[in-house]
Amino acid sequence: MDGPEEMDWLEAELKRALAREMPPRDFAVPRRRPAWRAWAAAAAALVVLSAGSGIGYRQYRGREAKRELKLALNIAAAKTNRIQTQLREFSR
Amino acid sequence: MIATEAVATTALDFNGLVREHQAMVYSVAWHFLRDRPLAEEVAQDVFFSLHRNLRSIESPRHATAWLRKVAVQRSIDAGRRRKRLPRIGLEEVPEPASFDARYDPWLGESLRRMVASLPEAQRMTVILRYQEEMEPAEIAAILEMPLATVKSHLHRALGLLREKLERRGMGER
Repeated sequence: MDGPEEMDWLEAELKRALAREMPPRDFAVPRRRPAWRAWAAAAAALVVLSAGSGIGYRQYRGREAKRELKLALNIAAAKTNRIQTQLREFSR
Repeated sequence: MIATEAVATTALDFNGLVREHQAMVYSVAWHFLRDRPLAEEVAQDVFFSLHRNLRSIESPRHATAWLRKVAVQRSIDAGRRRKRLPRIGLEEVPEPASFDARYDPWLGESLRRMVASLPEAQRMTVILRYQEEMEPAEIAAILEMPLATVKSHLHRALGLLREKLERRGMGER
C-alpha cells in the first residue's frame, strides 16, 4: 500500500473484475432431470444388480461343487472299505 | 411504515427472491471457488435452504442478509471439502455483461485468478468488499471476526495482489 491513488486504481479494477454475474441457469425454474440421466441411472442399477446376482450364483455353484466332492469322497471311501473287508475275508 | 413492512412480508415469494438474488449468491460462490459446476451446486443448496426456512424470513432486507450469509458459509464449506486445486477451463472465462472501453478483460481475468489464489479469509473478505461493496464492519459481522482482522485481511490481500500484478508488468496504468 504505497499510496491512496494506487489503492483506488486497484480497488476500481477489483470492483469491475468481481462484478456479479448471472448464473448459467435460472434457479427459480426447477430443473428437469435429462432423460439420458434417468436411462444411465437405470443401466447402472441393472449392472449392479447383475453383478450382485452373478456373484451370488457363483457362490451357490461353489457350495454345490463342494457338496458333490464330499459325496464323491464318501462313496470312494465306502467302496475302499468294502474292498478292504473283502480282501481281509479272502486272506483268512 | 408498519403497513408497508407487512405488505413486503406477505409479498415474499420464493421465486421472486431467487430471481432477485441468484446473481449475488452464484457470484459469491463462483468468485470464491472458481468452479462453475460447484458454484451452481452451492447456489442451488442455498436456495433449497431458503425454501425450507422461508417462514422465518421476516422482510426482503432480512432475506438479502440471510442469503448473503448462507452463501458465504456454504462457499467456505464447499471450498474446505474440495481438496483438489481449482481447475480453470476456457469455458469458465465469463462473457462480459456489457462492453466497456476502459475495461481490460485480460486484467480482469488475471485479477479474478489472483483473488481465487488468496488464502480463504482474505479471498472472502475481498469478494464481499468488491463484489458486494460491503463496508468492513458489515464484513466483520457476516464473517464473525473482529473489524481489525477484516481490515488486516483487506490490507494484506491488496498488497499481495498489487505485488503480483507488478511482477507481471500489469501494475498501475
